[in-house]
Amino acid sequence: MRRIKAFGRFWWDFVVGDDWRAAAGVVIAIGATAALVAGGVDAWWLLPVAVATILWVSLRRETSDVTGNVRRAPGPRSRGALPRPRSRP
Amino acid sequence: MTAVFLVASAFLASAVEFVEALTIVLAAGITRGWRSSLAGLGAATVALAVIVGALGPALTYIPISALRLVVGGLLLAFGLQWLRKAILRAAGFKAMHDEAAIFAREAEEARAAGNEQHAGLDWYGFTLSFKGVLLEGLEVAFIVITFGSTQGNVGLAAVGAGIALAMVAVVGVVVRGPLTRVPENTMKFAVGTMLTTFGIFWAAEGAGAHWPGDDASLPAVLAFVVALSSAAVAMLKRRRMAFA
Repeated sequence: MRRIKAFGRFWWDFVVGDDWRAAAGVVIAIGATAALVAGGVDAWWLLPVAVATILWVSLRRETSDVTGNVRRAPGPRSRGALPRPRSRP
Repeated sequence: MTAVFLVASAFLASAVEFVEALTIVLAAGITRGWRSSLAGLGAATVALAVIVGALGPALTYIPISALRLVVGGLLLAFGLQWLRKAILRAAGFKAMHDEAAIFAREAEEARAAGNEQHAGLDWYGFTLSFKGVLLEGLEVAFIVITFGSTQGNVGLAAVGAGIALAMVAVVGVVVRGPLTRVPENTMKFAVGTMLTTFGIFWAAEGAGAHWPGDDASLPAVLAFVVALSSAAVAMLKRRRMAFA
């Protein structure tokens, strides 16, 4: 059981990483592209726009500690100068 | 053009992973003995060959549009991770990946570990090397299989990975130390942009969209991702300076 959990953890860290919102955004954007195509719109442009938005939101979130633009309650992470590295790559 | 991207992406992504695997094998070999470290390397290579041999052909039975949708989505999620971290490192928000520091830490942990023997091998050295090579190798296998199968050419992606393996192995033997001079963040930046580019391209195609100019639009998507990432680095650097 422990090994199965570790295996699942490896793939979660590998594919999703430390920002699950970005991965969820990717899934929503692909679903929206498929829905638009099914509705007759050739939505090839949607994913580039979505990627720019996801990247922007994710980077803003990650750097909010450093720039003082903290949106969550004060805690151990908000006191440090830099966000601590959590996982690879 | 797509073939060049395919080989270049597989080469860069694999080289980054092989450098990390080499660091672990070297740390295990120097501190715990080369026999156990190399045995771990060999066992992991066999395990990887079995996994790739089983998964590679199985993927060819999946319809190409479904494969592109799933693989595109996975690459996009995976590529955005690389890109995000490379941007944060380039902008100074995250420490650079330091192979020398990782090597020193792994070596220290290996020295401090107890001495347990199994089948005439130092167990710590064997498992350290085995796990390191298997995990880094799985990442290479994932990239080679997904890139290759989606383009219908696993062999070409494997060529890129093979060149990377040969180069890292030769340099590793010559240097006999962690490859600290490899511009790892630059490579990760390049890999992140390529994974994200392929992810956007294939996921949109898998969802049924048609790119203007088909494969010819791939360089345009790459240019878009590079411009986006460069703009993000420039903007974050300015933000960092403003709040420094």
